[in-house]
Amino acid sequence: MSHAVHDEPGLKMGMPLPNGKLAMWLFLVTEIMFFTALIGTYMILRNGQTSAGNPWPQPHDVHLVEWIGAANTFVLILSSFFVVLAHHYLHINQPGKGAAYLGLTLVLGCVFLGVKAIEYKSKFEHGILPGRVFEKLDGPRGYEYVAKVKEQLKDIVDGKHHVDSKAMDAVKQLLTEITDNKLSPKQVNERVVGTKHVKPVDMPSNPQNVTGILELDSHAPISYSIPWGNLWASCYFAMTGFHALHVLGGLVIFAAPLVKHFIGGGLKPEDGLFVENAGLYWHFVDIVWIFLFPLLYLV
Amino acid sequence: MSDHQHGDHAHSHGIQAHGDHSHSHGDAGHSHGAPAHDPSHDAKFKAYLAVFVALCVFTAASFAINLALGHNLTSAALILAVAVVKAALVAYIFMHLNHDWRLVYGIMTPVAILSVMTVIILSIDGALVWGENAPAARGLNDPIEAKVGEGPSKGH
Repeated sequence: MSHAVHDEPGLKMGMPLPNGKLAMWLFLVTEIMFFTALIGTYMILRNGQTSAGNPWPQPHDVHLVEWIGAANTFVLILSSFFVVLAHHYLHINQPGKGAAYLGLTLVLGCVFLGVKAIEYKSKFEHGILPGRVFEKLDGPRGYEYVAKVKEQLKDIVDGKHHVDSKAMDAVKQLLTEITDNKLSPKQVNERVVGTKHVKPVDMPSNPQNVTGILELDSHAPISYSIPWGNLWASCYFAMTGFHALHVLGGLVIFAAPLVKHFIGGGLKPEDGLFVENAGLYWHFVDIVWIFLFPLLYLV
Repeated sequence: MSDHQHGDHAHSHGIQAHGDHSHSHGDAGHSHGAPAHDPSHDAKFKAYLAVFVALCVFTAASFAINLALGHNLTSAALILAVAVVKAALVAYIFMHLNHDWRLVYGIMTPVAILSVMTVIILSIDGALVWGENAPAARGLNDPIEAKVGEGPSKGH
């Protein structure tokens, strides 16, 4: 009789999850809202004001390389796979293998951040930072642009920066014409990128059908107009920056079981829940990148 | 949910949470320290490997679609659809939602609706009103003017 009473299931509110795992899922819910807000804002900014004549920057306009983004996607996917394997091996009582896969995950996270740092460096070098990109050449910013290009051309002529010999003549000619005050900001931009690469909004009233210096040497360190470039840079650094911070956080979390394994007496199967929760977080970070990669590099 | 609360607590991770005991996902469906030669472990490993390979293939597919179709609405729709499939695979298999959904749906459903609806609402607005194919983007500020610009309708 008492047995029957004992087995009677009582009403119970709450989810049959370990507290840590429930907390992780609740945290991920807030994270979903966080990144939904960021991505939603990006969609509004990207679609809300651009037009065919004044389009959103293409990846190559802002020195984004698609294959590098794809490679970094592969790195994160592989790290997600390794986290699953780490948990799997811990679960079947092979802590050595589990720790090895955790270590590999840590390395791949560092690789991801390293590649991201290289990409950021490229943006810094090309002045693609919020508020630093030249656009709207009709206004005062146009004259700032001309002054900047003049300075860059002087540096090239003085030998501080190297450009291809084919581009050198065009550099010297443009410097002469800017010094003589013969060109408007839009005409200077046309000489830099070449007429066929000028965005409609930046096209001078009398296009000259010229070959641009950057067409002769794509690595020449000369600024050019990128319509919506400042807004693009704000979105790019906000989204990828917050994502990178999450990756960094994940590395700290993964370091804890590794420290325990190597200097704290070794991992045990009971540590599986920690690794599983850390894995949930890491997979979420992976999912965010799965959306950021196409939104920023491909679409 | 009551079946999780029947005292069938052998399925936890070895860590019990103040009386709430996890059934959790299949990976933890047995106590830790299970023998490595259990065939179900091989099956799980194969499933994880298959998902990893699928994710790589889908990433390559996104890249190929971008190369083949360039930047337009069709390629954007295809690439984002591929991203949704990739995210679903990670969530379903790697995050074990195939087993754990019944435990977390209560907290996940509202936020899933929020995020999906946000994206849908903003996509519709962007594609139909402001997108590069919208009348305003083609220099025609008024939809009626846009119709005029297309000339007489062939059907009438």
